[in-house]
Amino acid sequence: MRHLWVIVLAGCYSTVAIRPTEIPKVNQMDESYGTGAVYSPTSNPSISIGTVQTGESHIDFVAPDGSVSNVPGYADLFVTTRQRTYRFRQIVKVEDEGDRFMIRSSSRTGEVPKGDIVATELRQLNKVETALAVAGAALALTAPLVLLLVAR
Amino acid sequence: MRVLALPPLGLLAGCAFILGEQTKTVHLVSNPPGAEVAMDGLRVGRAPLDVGILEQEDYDFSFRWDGGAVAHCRLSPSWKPYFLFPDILLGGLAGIVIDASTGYWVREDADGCAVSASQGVVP
Repeated sequence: MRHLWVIVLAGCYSTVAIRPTEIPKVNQMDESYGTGAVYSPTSNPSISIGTVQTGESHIDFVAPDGSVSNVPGYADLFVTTRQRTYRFRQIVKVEDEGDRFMIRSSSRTGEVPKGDIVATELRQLNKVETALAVAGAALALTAPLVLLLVAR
Repeated sequence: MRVLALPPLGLLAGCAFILGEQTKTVHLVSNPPGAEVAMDGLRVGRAPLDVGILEQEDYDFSFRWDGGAVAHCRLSPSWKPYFLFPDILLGGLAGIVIDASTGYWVREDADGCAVSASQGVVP
């Protein structure tokens, strides 16, 4: 069942492969929030005061093939070494210590020798697509019950 | 009316999943202090120190003292049944299935690891 959700949510992530030398650029990632008006487009539209995103960084990352991708806001950093893949959940901060990177994040911390790095990726959750995917899958699961009630 | 009410409930399914990943800071202590700590094989620093973890993941910490002694500590999340109630209430079957299948019913209980060079892992 877990694999089903991996499939459902797979399309909800934006993944960008980057060169290992681009890793320190994650330090430039930023998002800012403040208080602002929030519009709720329901059947009874209303405007309330809440937390809104007021800005985000746009950082250009170079891929292994030389292409450039612009990544908005924060992203998770995935570093694959010869041993395994490590996920560093946003927010990520990196120190270049010569032959290794010291990577700190909310989900793990560790020194990664540059020579051990096989691949590096940035991954972001697309909130709108994810919400729609979860809602759609939930509805798909609920539908049989609805049909059952209707039939009765 | 009964039919119209059900699909919106489906939108609320998977509370734990939607509320999502939780991170926490754990405290790593060694006795004597100063052991080199590695987190899943990556060097972190010398104990005592704090690191952030994801509550849904397993972590292996190894402590190595300058004298050669080594101790290990593993943090593993456990099942948290309190997510079951809002899932049943808000998401019904869909919520239960989503959260059970994605593993978001689990949380890490421990606040850290304390290990001793002579005694191994101290609970």
